[in-house]
Order: sequence, then structure tokens, then C-alpha cells
Amino acid sequence: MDDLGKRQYKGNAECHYQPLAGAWSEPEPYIAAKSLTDAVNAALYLRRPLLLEGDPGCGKTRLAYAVAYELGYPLHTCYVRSSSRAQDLLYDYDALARLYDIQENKAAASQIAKSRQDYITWGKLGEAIKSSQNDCPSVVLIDEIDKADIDFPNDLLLELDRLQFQVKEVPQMNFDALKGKKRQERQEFLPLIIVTSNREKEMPKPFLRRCLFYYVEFPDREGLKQILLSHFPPLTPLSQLTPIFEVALTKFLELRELRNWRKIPGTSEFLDWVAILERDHQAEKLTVEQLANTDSVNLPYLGALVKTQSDRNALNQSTNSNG
Amino acid sequence: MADLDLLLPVFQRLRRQGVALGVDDYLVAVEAIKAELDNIDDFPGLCRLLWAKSREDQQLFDQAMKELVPIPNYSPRAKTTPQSQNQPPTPKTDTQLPQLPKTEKLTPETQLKLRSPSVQPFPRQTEPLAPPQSYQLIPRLPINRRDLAGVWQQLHRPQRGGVPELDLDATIHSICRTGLLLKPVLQPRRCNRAELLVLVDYQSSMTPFASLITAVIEGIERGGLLPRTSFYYFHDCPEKFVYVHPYLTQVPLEKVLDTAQGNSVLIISDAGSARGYYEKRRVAQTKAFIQRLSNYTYLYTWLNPMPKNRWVATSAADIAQMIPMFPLDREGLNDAVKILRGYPFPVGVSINE
Repeated sequence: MDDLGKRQYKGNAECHYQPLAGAWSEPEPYIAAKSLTDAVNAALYLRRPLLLEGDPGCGKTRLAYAVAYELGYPLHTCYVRSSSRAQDLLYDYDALARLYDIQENKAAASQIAKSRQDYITWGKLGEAIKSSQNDCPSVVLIDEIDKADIDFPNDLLLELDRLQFQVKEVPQMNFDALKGKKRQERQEFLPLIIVTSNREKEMPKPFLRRCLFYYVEFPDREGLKQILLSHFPPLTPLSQLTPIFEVALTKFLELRELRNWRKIPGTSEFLDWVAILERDHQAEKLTVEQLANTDSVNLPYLGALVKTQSDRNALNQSTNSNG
Repeated sequence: MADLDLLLPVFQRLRRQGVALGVDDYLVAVEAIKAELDNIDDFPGLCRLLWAKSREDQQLFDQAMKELVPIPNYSPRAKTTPQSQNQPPTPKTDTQLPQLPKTEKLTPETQLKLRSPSVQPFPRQTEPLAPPQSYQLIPRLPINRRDLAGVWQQLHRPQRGGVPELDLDATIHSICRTGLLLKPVLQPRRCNRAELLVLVDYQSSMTPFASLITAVIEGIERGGLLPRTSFYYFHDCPEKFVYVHPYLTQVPLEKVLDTAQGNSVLIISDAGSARGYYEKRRVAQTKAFIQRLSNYTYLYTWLNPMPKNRWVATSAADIAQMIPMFPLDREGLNDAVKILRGYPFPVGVSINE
């Protein structure tokens, strides 16, 4: 395990390193652009949080899984809710259970009281900081940080910066991933934090200052092809798309160019759609020619791609006016 | 280090353009470059990652790169001089080699080839359709969008009203009183209760400011108060009705003001200063409106997209005596938000003179 400092993300969905204990072991077929792998590696080296923005369904969240898998790191995922508070990411102290236990012990007068530590439930970021204090790095995903109150990112500043926290209820419990050393010295053991945002809210400046920013673009034709190949590995070793995929890809790109979308279909929608087409194709309900000769508005399973009524209407209109 | 020196003007320009960058950000770039990251073969890409924190910033960065860094290293057509090969990037490209398909010896040509991908992240945005004529079509507002949104984060009124949580003190207190833990005492969690009503003037004299006003509205929406903000439109002065969309569905003003009871109200209008003349009727109407408004709340303010020196001798000058009016720039916006948070009005401004 002395290669920790040298591990790098290559973006080809293969694990090249020996996985750490508790590592994320589910392979994630994820094809990353060169600039994205660079961004991940820069974040990995500097151990600064990587803030990802981009359209919904373009693979912001999946990146964390892919990175964890490739590096052989454990993965901690925090899905932020509107009611989330920064402290929830670190730990939760069940004061009520303790009160009840004290009361019961009084009544029974036999058991030895549990210690305070037993009432702590660790949050995901808390776990990551704890384990990196024990020299085990990990990947932390903080998903959709813009969903929470605006205080949320502000309250996380210290934890993201210094990677340390204290359990307020048990003051002697302190965790410090840096162990009082410099960031560079501890670099290889620190957690890699990946934050995603849909930009519903503007992040506060001090928070942005600590992050690396990367905007996930929609992949081009070649990129989509690679993604398809990794999700639906061809039976023959030739890296060639089967005709049905080829046609689906063309149709999908046509559809994306059609008009100003209210909610433009992203990669994840495309993959869902292709999966259904593939199923029908296997069952011989759909042929390549059939699909190729259908115009955009009549495509099968359009519901997997077009998600709002207004998009649907506009799609109908544009096809009517064209033909 | 030479590469970084070349990027200094870019850094400085970004700072001037209001991108939030500090010495620390520069030092991190230095650190990263010194460490000679094996896999990152392009410094501009790294700096972009470190310095540009939104798509807007990225555009500014690309623009600045294009204009300020005329180094041969980064332009695809330029020659690589032997001198520049001795610069720090060279060992990096060496280490880069094993990852490349070909493992031939480094010659100036292959170096050039290796280096050319370093420009790859940029062309998409910086290369216009017709290369020789490029127009800078990045909308530049008097205030950048981040500030427009950020300032509203100060409008914060935490009150209890969210999800219930355990009130530990009260629970312990109740145990002390009864000697038993009968049931936990709950209290609603603290959350931001600030509400904002925005009234926007949206016609004729306000037309030139349309993009700025849209950006302001967008900023308010993204500022973090999202569910508790409402926008209504009017023309010249809000009278009986205001509109939900510009020119659409009208709503009685009375009803709208009812929702603003005790909350913050922001008015955006030029108050007659854009045309530059004094209109007695408008002043009187506006006065009547503000008087009415003051019955509902005392947290109201006015943003005027015209600069302050243009208010003189127009209706705006008079209206500014009745309601705190600020020009729509960074300071003005800050002051306006302060008023909405409950700061006292500036001296001499009052509706009841």
C-alpha cells in the first residue's frame, strides 16, 4: 500500500491498483474526457474539493463512483436534502436515547451506563475524516449541494479546509485528518471530496475559493459512442457499435439539436432509452430499418427522453412545420 | 516558473474583472506547477481549473488567455524555440511519455505534438466561427453575476419554523421537574424566514436596462431565498394592479401587498430619471404608493439602474427623498440589502415629512 501517493485517475473504468480495505468494488462504466481526468488528478494532488457543475444527467454523480473504483478507495456518499445541515455530514448525537438509557438504568440500577461515545452515529464526511486520520484515504461525494440551505456550504468551510472536527457532546473526541502536519505531508491520506451542484443557488465565494471547478460538458458523438460501448460491451472484441446503437445515436443527436429544450435529455436518459431499444431489438420487435425510418416525434419510448409537456408539444409542432 | 509569470497578467485581469481570487489561489497554482504533476501537461488548463469558478469565469479566463499570453508554447502554429525546451515543462513531458502510444525519442517535432494537446481545452470557446474576426460577445454587466446573487445571501432572518428537533434543555428541565422522562420536548428548527417581494418597472424607459434587470432577477432567484421570493411587474408606478409576467395576468396590488406584511419589498425602477425630466403626477402617484406600502412593512427600498448623478432635477430626486433609493451598482445593492435587513433609513429620507 505504499503506492498511495502515486495513484492516479485514468478515466477508463479499470482498477489498476490494489483496492484498500472497504474499497468501492462495483465497476462503473464511466468514460471521462481528458480534461476531466486532469481535473480529478489535480484535485487528487492538491486534495481540494472538486466542484462539478453541468446539466442534469451528464454524469456528475457517477464520476465519484468511477473515481473510487479506479483508485481502489472506499466511497462515502452524502446526498444532500433541503433540510440537511452541515453537522449531519459529520456526526449525529442521539441525546434522547441517552436520556432514556439513563432513566432505565436508574430504574434497573444494575447495568453500567454506556459511555457517551456510544450515542454517536457518524456522518459520511465524519467517517472519511476519521479513516484518513488512520491513514486510509477515501472518496467523499457530496451530491447536489445547492439543494440545502445557503448556510450549508458556509458551515462546511472549516471541515473542508482543515479536515478536522470535534464532537461537541464529547469534547475529548477530536478528529484531524492532517494530524497537525502540513497538507502536502499528509496529501496521500486525505479524502478526495467531490461536490456536485445544479447551480440552483449561487455558492458563497469563500466556498468556491476552496474548490476546483469543472463544468461537465455533454459528450460529442465520439464520446457518446465510447460511453455506449462501455455500458453495452459488444460481444465481438471489435470496438464497433452494433447497427441499432448506431442508429439510436444518430436519432438522439438529431433530437438534441431540434430546438431549445426546457429540459434537454442528457447522457443518463440516453442510456435508459438505448437499453429499452436494445431489449426490443433482442426480442425482434424492432428492426434497425424501422428505427432509422421513424421521424423524431414518433420515436419509440420517447417518454424516456422527453420529460416535460411543453417539450413534447414543441416537438410535435416543429415536426409538423417541417413536414 | 516562466510559465507562471506569463500567467500573472491573466490572474491580475481576472481579479480586476471581479473574479474572487486571492494570493492563496496564485500560490496553489505555483505549488501545483512546482510539483510537476505528471499527468497534467497543460498549465493553462490547471490554472483555469483553479481560478475560474463558473462558466462565466471560464469565458473570461479563455478571453484573457487569448489576449494576454502570446507565448509560442501555447499557440498551435508557433515554433518551439530550443530555449523554451529547457524550461520546466520538458521533464514533465518526459514522464508523460509512457502513457503515450509511441515511445520514440523526444525530438522537437514530437514535443510540438505533445504540447499541442495542451491547447485543446480552449479552442471550443475561444475559437470563433470565423477566426480572423473575433467579437467578444460575453455580456458584461456593471456588477458581475456572482455579486448579484451573493449579496442576497445576507438577507437572512433565521426563525424557528422548520422541521421539529429535540429541545434538549427543555427536555432536561422537564425531567428535573417531574423526575421522569415523560416525553421529549420538541421545537421547530431554525431556518431562514426572510421573504422578499420584488416590484419591477418593465416598460418604455426601462427597456435599455432589460438585460441588467433580468440578471438582477436571476441573481435574486439564485441567491438562496428561492421559494420565498415573488416578482411582480408594473409600469412607471404600481397603482391598482401589478402583473405576474411582464404584460400578463394582472393581480390587485392590495393582494400582493397583503403577502408582504412585515416582509422585505424591493422596487426596481428608474423613477423617471432615464428620460431626464420632472413629472409632478408621477411623483404624487409614487408618494401615494409608498404611503400605502409603509402601512404594510418598513423594510422597503428602491433600486435605480440610472447612476446617481442623473437623478438630479428629475422625479427620481424627489422620490429619493421619500424612500431609500440606491443606484444599481455593487455598493448600492449592498446598501439596499442592508435596508431590507432592517438598517435605519439614510438621514432625510422619510415618507412623512
